[in-house]
Amino acid sequence: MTDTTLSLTRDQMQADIAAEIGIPLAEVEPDESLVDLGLDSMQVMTLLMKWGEVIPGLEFSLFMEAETFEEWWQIAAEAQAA
Amino acid sequence: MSVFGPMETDSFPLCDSQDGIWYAQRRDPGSPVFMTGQALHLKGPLDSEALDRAIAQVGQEAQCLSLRFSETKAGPRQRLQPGGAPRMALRDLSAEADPLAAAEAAILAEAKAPADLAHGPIAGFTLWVLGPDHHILSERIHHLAADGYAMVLITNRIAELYNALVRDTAPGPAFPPYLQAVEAEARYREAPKRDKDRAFWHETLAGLGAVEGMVAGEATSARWFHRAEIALPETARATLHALSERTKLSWPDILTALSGAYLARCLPPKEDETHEVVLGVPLMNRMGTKASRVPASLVNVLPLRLVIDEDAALADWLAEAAARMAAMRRHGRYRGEGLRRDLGRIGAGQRLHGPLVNVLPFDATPKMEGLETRLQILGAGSVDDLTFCFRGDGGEGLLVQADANPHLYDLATTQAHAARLSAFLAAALGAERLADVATLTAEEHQTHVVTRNATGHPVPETTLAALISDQLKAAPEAEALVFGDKRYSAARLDAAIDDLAGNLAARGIGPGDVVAVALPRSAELIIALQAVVRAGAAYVPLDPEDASARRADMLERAAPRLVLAAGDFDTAGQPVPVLAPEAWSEGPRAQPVAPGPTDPAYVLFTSGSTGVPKGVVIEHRAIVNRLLWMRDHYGFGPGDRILQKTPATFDVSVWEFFLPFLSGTALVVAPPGAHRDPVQLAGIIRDEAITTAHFVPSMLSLFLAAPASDGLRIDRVFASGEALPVSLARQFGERITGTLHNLYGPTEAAVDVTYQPATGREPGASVPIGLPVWNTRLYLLDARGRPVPDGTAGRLYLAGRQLARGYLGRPDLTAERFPEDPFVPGERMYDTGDLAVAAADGRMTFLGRIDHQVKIRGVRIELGEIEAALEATGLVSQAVVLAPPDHAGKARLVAYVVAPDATGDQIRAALSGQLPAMMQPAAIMVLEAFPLNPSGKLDRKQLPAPQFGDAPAARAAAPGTEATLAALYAEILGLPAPASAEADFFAAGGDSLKAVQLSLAIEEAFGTDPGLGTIFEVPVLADLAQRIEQSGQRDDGLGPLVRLSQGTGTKGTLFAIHPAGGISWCYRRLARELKDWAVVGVQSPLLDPNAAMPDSLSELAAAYATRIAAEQPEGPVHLLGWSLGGIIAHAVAAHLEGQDRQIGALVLLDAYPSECWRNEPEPDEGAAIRALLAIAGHDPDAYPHLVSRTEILGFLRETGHPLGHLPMAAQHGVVRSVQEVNRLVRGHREPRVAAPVIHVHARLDHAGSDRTPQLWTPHAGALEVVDMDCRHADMVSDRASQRVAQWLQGRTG
Repeated sequence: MTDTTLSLTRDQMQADIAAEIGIPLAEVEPDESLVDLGLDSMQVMTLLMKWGEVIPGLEFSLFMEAETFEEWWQIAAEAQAA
Repeated sequence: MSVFGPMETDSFPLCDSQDGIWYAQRRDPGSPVFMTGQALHLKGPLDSEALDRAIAQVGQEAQCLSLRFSETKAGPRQRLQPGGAPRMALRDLSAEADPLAAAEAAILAEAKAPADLAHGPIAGFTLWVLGPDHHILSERIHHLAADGYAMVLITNRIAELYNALVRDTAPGPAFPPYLQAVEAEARYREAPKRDKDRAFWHETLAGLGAVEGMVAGEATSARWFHRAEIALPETARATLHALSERTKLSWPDILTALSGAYLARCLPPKEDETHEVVLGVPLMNRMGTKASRVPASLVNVLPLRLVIDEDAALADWLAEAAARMAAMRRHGRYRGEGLRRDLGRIGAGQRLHGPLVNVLPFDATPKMEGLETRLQILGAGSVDDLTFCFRGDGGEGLLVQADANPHLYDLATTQAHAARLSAFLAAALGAERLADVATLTAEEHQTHVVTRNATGHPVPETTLAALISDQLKAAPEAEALVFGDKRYSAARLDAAIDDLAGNLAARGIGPGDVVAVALPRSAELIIALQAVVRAGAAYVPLDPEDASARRADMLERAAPRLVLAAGDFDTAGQPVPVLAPEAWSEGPRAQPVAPGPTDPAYVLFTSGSTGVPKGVVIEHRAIVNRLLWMRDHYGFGPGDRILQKTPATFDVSVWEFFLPFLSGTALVVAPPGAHRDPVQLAGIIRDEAITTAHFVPSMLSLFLAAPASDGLRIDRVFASGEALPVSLARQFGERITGTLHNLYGPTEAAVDVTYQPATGREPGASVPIGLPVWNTRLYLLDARGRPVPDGTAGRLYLAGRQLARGYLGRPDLTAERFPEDPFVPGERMYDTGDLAVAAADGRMTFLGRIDHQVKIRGVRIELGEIEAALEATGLVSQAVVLAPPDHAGKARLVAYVVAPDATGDQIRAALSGQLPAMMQPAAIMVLEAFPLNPSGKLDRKQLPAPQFGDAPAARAAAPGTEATLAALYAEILGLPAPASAEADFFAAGGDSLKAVQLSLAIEEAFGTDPGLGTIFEVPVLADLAQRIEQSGQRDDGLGPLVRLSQGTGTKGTLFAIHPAGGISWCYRRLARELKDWAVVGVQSPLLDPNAAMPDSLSELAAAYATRIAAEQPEGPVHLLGWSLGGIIAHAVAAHLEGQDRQIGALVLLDAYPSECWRNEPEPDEGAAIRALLAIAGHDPDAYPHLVSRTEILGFLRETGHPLGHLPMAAQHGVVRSVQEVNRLVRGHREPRVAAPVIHVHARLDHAGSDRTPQLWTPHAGALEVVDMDCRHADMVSDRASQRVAQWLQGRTG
C-alpha cells in the first residue's frame, strides 16, 4: 500500500498538525513530543474531527496516549489499514 | 496457639499527583469533600442485569477502584486490594411517593459520606430504581483514585460495556493497568524534562507577590461547598465560537482568560495599579503520556498569572493570555504541590493561586442503548476558595458553575458570582476592550446605583436663617441656650441674634460675604454664628487659640469682611477689622438682606492630605437637608437638650450649633476646654439632663473609661470622625443608658451622609457607616468608575443635595474632587478617597483611606482588628495601631496604647495568644494619654516615634512548650539549632509530610494532637505553642479517661488499663493500629496529688468498673492491660461481671497474677522512678547509668518520649502510682472471672522464672495464649502493637 491510496497521508497529517499549532512544518519532527511542540487537547479534538471525516473510528484516547508524531502516524496508518 | 507471620509488603508510595489530596484529606479525615461523584439519569427500558455486569467488569479493569491507603512514618502508601472494587448496589425507591426527590436526597447523602481509605470501599455505584423506565446510576470515587477525566473514562466504559452486552457486540480495549500511570509518573520524575519544567515555573513565578483571594480568610476546603449554576446564554455561546473562529484561539482558553478578567474585578483595589490575577488552572496532565487512558488521579492545578490589560484590543489580550496558557500546558506535568514546596508557599496565607477556573470540554454525557441519558455532577473534589467550572462540550450548551467554600462565601454571594460571571462573559465576548465591560449585571447596576440611592425626600428650598428665625419666634418662652449661669429664652436669643445681625448689615455685610468667627465656646459664640448667617453672610470659624501661620493663610484666602473675636485678636497683617463682643452693642443697625438657599452658609477649612488647608464652601440648601433629616429621623423636639462641645472648626459642630434652634430644642454649651475632660463632661451631662451629645470615637473611649461616665443616661450619642470600633459600641451599651449612632461624612458633604445605629453586636471590627441620608447617593466604584460588587472594596463617592459648592478659590481642586456624576447627567459627585465595602443589604462599612492600606509581608492587615485585640486584653483602655514605614520602606506595626497598670511586655504577652505573629505589633508604646487635636480626634502627628526593640533578630523559644516545639522543629526540619519562636514551619523547609511528622511528634511530646490542620493554620512556632497550651488546658491527657484513638469503634470500645505508672499513653500505638476500635485509656486517680489512696486493688478496680460502666452503659465490655495493668484489668472484669455486665475480650499483655509479686520487695522511690523507663517502653536493665529523676526525664525527653515532658506534679503522681500499685498488688487475691483470659505472652522473657500464662487458669473461665517473640518491655512497641492489633482485628466480634 502506498501513500497515494490512503485517505490521509503522512505529509498531510504533518502539515495539519503544523498548521493547527501554528509552527513551520519542518518543526513537526517525527520523534519530537507533540506536547512540547505546543499541541493541546482541544487541538487534538479539532484535528481528529477533521481527519475523522476521511478515516472513521479514530479514537481520541489513543491519540492522547501517544507522544510523538511518529506514534500518531502509526495509529492513523493502522486505522486506515483496518 | 498462634504465631504471627511477616507483614504484607505489597504497597507502594502515593504518586505526586495524589500527595496534595492525601494531605488535604489527612487534615480533616472525616470530610467527604474529596469524594467525587456524579449521577447518570437513565430514562427508558434498562437492562439492570447488564448494567450490573458492566460495572463488575469495570471494577476489574479500572484498578483504581480497588485502591487502599495507609500511613507510615515514611509517608502515605497505597496498594491494590484484589477484589476490592465495589459492585453495583440496587436501591428500589419506586414505592416512594416522590421517587425522584427521594433518590436525589439519598444520592446527596451518599455523596456526603466520607470513605474509609484504609479498608475501603473508596468508590461506590448505586442504581436507584425510580420506576420501570426511570433509573439513576450514582457513582462516587475518592479523588485519590480518580480525577474528573478518570470519572469520564469510567462512566464511558460502563456505557460501552453495557452497550456491548445488550447489543451482543465486542467492546473496545480495556483500560491499561493502574501501574502504567504510576510508572509514567516515575519516569517523568527522573526525566530531564522535569528539570526544564521546574526552571520554566520558577522563571514564570519570579517576583510573584502575595496572592489574594476575593475575601480575606484561610482558603482551606470545608466539608462541602456552595454551588450555583447558570447556563451561558445561547447568544453568548454563539459569540464565543465566532470569536474563537476569528481569533484562532480555543474557546476554553477564551473562557479561562475572561474569567480571570472577571476575578480581577472582584479583588480589592491595588495601589500599584498592576492588575495581575493568579488563577489556579487544573490541567489534565494526560496528553502524550502512557497514563493518558488510565483511570487514576492525575489532574494538576497550576498557577496562571494574567495581567489584565483592559485597554488592549480584546483579541490581542486574549492571544497573549492564550500564549501563557499554551506555555503552561507545555510544562504542565510539573506538580503544583512541588511548586508550593519549591517556593515555600505552604501554610496559612501562603497561596500559590487564587480561585480556580476549570473548563471541562470532555465530559460529554455517555450514550446508552435505548436510553435517554442526562449527567449531573455532584462533587469534583475540594473547594478551597472559589471554583468556576464550565461544563459541556461547547456545542450543545455550556453550564457556568460556581462552587464556593462556605467558610468564605455565603450561598447568595456564590449565586451572585455565577450570575455576574455569566453576564460578564456575555458582555466581554462582544466587547472591543475589557474596559468597556461592566462588572455588575444590569439588575445589580440598577440596585446599586438607583434602588439603594432612592433617598428622595421633599425638603424645602430654604435657609438656616429662615428656619431658625421661624422656630425661635414660634415658641418664644422655650429655653433655647444655656452657658453656665447664662440662660436664654428663644425670644431673648432671637433678639440678640437680630441685634448683631443688624450691626453686621449696617457694615454692609450680606449674602456672598464671609465673616470670620474666632471666639471661645460661649453664649457669644453661638450668637455670633447665628447672626452672621442671619445677616446673609457665611461664617468661617477660626481657632481662637491658634495664632499660627495657618490662621494667617486662612484669613488671607477667606478674605472675611470682619472678624468676630476678642479685641486682641491678631489678624496677622490682614487688613480686616475685628469686632469684640464688648463692642457689639455699639454703632448703627440696618435691616439684613436674607440669604438665598444657594448662598454659602459657612466655610470650613479642612487639612488636606497635602497639608495645605482647603476652604470648603457649604450652601444653605445642603446643610438644611442634613439638619432636617436629622431632626425628623431622630425625632428632635422640645424637651431635648443638646450638648455643644465640638470646636467650631470641626464640621460636627455645625449640627450642634444649628439643629437645636430649628427643632425647638435647648442647646447647652460646655465651657471652653471641657470637651477634653471626661469628668467635667459627665457633670454637665448629668446636671443639665443632656439628651444628645456627640463624641469622636477616640474621645468616647476616654469618656467611657472614666468612672464618672458610668450609669449616665444620654438618649442619643452620635459618633463620627473616625471608624467606630464594635468593642467601643459594646462598651457604650454596658455603661450608658441610651442609643449610639454611627455617622459618616466628609466636610465636603455637609457634615454627614450616612447613618447606622450601633449595637456592639456587629460582625467585624468596625460598626458599618450604614445607609445614605435624604437626597443623597453613594457609589462604590473601581478605579475606572464602575460600580463594584457587594463584598468587594471600592472607592466611595457621594452625590446629592449635600455636596459642597467646592473649595474656596481652588477651581482646579474642586474640578478634580467633584467630577461629574456618571449616573445622573448634570450632577456632580464627590470623591471621598475612602475605601468602603457594601453588604448585600447595601450597608457600607468604612475600610480606611485609599492611600493608607497596610500590608505586612504582602498580606493585607486590618489595623482595627489589632486594636480590638489590644482592647480585649483588658490591660488597655485605648489603643491605636499604625504602620509607619521603616528605613527600608517596609511597614512595621506600632501599637500606641493607654494602659495605666500594664507595661508593654505584659501587653505583648497578653496579646501573643490572640493574634497571629504577622499581626503582632513590632513596638508597643505605652502613653499616659493620647494626644488629641482640637476636634477631639487622635492627633497622629503628636504621637512619639516608635521605639523598636534592639533585637529585630529572632526571639529564642521560651522555656516550656516553645522550647520543646523548637527542638521538634529542628529535629524534623534538620535544622542545626532549635528553631526560633518566630520560625514558620513551612518557610523553614517544612512540607506536608513533615507536617504530619510534626503533628505525630507533638502528640507524643505533649499527649495532645493539635491536628494537621492546626499546623497549616498556625505554622509559626510561638503561635503553635500557644495553641498546644490552650488545648493542653482542655486536656492534658492525665484525666481519668483518655481517648487514645479516633477509631470508628465499629467493633466496640477497648478500655486499656494503665500499668503501674498510672498513665495509659503507652497504648497509643496500639490504639492507632486498631482501626475498628475506639480505644480509651483508663488512668490512675493517683496522678492527681490530692487524690486519696485506695485501700485495696479491688477498691481501685471497683472505681474503674464504675467509670467504665458509665462510659459504656451497655454491650460487652472489652478490657486490656499490660503488666500490673493486666492484674487490674482482670479485677475490673470481675467487678463488671458482678454487675451482670458481659465481658467481651479480656486481653492481658504479659501480665501475671499477683501471687508472682507477693514475695518480691516493693520498689523504693529510686526503683519507682526507674519504672518510668519501663513505662516508656525501655528495658530499665539496659540503662543502669540513669539513676536520678533528672537523668531519667532528660533521657526520655531526648528520646522524644512524652513522659519526658510531664508536668512536675504528674511526675510525682507517676512515682506515687508505681509505689502504690505495687503495694496494692501485693495485698491482692485474684477473684475468678467467667470470661476467658487472652494472654499475650512475651516469649523472650521469663525464662527460669515461675511466671507462666497458665497461672491464670484458676482465675478465668478459659485461657487463650498468644505467643509473641518479644520481651516484656517491648509489649507496647510499634512492632508488637501492630501484631497485637492485627490479631485483635482478625478476631471476630
